[in-house]
Amino acid sequence: MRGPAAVIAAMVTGAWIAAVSAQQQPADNQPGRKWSEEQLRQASSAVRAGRKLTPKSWPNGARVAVALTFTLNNTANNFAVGDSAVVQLTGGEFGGRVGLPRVLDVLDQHDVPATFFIAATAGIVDPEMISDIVKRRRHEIGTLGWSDENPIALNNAVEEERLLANAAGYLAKTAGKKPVGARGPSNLLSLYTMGLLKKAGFMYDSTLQAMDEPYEVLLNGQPVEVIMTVTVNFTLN
Amino acid sequence: MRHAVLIVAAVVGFWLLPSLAEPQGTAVQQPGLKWSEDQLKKAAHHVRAGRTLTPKVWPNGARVAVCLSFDPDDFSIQLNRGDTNVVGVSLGEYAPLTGIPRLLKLLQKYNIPASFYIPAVSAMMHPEMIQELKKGPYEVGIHGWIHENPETINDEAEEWRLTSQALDLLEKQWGRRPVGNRNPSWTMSQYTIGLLKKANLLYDTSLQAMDQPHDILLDGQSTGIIELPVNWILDDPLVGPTGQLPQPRLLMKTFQDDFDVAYKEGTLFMLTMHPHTTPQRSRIKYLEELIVYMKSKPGVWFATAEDIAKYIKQQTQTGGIAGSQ
Repeated sequence: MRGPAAVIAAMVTGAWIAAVSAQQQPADNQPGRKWSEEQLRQASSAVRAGRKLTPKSWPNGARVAVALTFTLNNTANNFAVGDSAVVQLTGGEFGGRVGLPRVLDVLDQHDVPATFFIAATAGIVDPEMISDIVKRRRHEIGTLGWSDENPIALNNAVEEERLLANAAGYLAKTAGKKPVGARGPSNLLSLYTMGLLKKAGFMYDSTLQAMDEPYEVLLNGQPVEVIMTVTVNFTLN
Repeated sequence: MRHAVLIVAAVVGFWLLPSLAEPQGTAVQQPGLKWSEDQLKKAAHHVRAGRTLTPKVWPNGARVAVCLSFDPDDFSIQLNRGDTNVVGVSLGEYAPLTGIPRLLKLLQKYNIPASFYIPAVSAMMHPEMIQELKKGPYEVGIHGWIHENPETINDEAEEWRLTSQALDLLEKQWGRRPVGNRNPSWTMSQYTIGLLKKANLLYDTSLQAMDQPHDILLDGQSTGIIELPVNWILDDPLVGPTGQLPQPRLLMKTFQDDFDVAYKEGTLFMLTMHPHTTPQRSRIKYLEELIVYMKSKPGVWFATAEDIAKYIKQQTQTGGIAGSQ
């Protein structure tokens, strides 16, 4: 809870206070302290963890399942915010030109499958990434939004659905297979995202952090059939 | 170095944005540069550390008192901001669903008591948490209504409303009225200590003037509230201030080194942890190693903060305090 977001928030808040309120008290943005129990529940109940889904046994009697996942956002988020700063874009280019091939070679050497969550615009500007992943024939491709956008800031179910459909369509077309897994762009989910994933027929999400084992996702208290979550975690990043 | 980098980044951030907004760049606030000696003292002396309260001897001749404490903030901080972020809620649920069960298993294995400072809203959202704590040697203390920041609320009546509500809700769930307070984010308003006294609390565990128990002075007068001090060094951040992962192994080594001096000096080792952090799979084993290390020394008293404060209170009445009287 005291993560980078908090630090950035503190900096932005601090800067804002300094800029606009030379003599005022620090801003107090704590509306939740006046919310009723019902309001508190409503604000936190959209998406919750349901039952655990760790199988009694993994295939061939394995003890543990290991998923190496890679988030190919490159500079998709820069595009989302309309930023075309040249040097920063080369950082994303590194991911496509150098990072990914190196990773794919290591995975090939050890015969390890992996999952790549790809923002569609990252694929559009470096299309050889997707063809290279597909060529290795052992990996999965999942969605990471259209352009690693911030779905909370978007706050528009229709627009989010359009972006998700476009993203899944782009990956299906270029990878030859419809994606079944999603990771929230910018590692975020809006209040609409789970419903949209369900509507679009996704099998799983990999963004939430309530457990460190697979679990069922509850949407407004109801199990989202088919959708489970493969949990992620700051520590494992 | 990381801190230095962060500070530089923060300072640059503070400087850049206002200077973009106001080319004159007059926004940096340093009113204290013009304060008189009287003004400086007034600002600093409102809440101060009083006499030290380390007993001459801990129960059963123990050399040091150890309190493991946990703050289940869950998603109360986020809700207080009015933020419905779905992923944030899921991380907030890690503590009740995964962290606390794993933690209690470890504490039970070594029969260690612990204190839990619970924002009332965390208890409200996951009432099973305190029901589970009631089964073992665990204390429940207050940690704000919703992990609020009383400093920016800056309103005595509102702060009292939140504190009273928090005490009432925890009392209802725990079956006893809490006697200890830890302020959210270790932030207090000018009113907080007065309100803790009004609430008749036995102890506080938020201040940082010493690393042994001490009396709290309010405007120069003893409050009789026992402070069991904390420190950001003795805390388990999920990620560091610049977003990097702390090295759990080094973190626990720091805790162990700190314990060694507390043991040598015969005072108090108060460790603050979070059930969404330390019980993570990559960290829990280091807490176990620390417990095993502390248990390997003779004369270590593991106790709840409440039991420590009660013992101190009793010693103050029978001349059993070691320090300045």
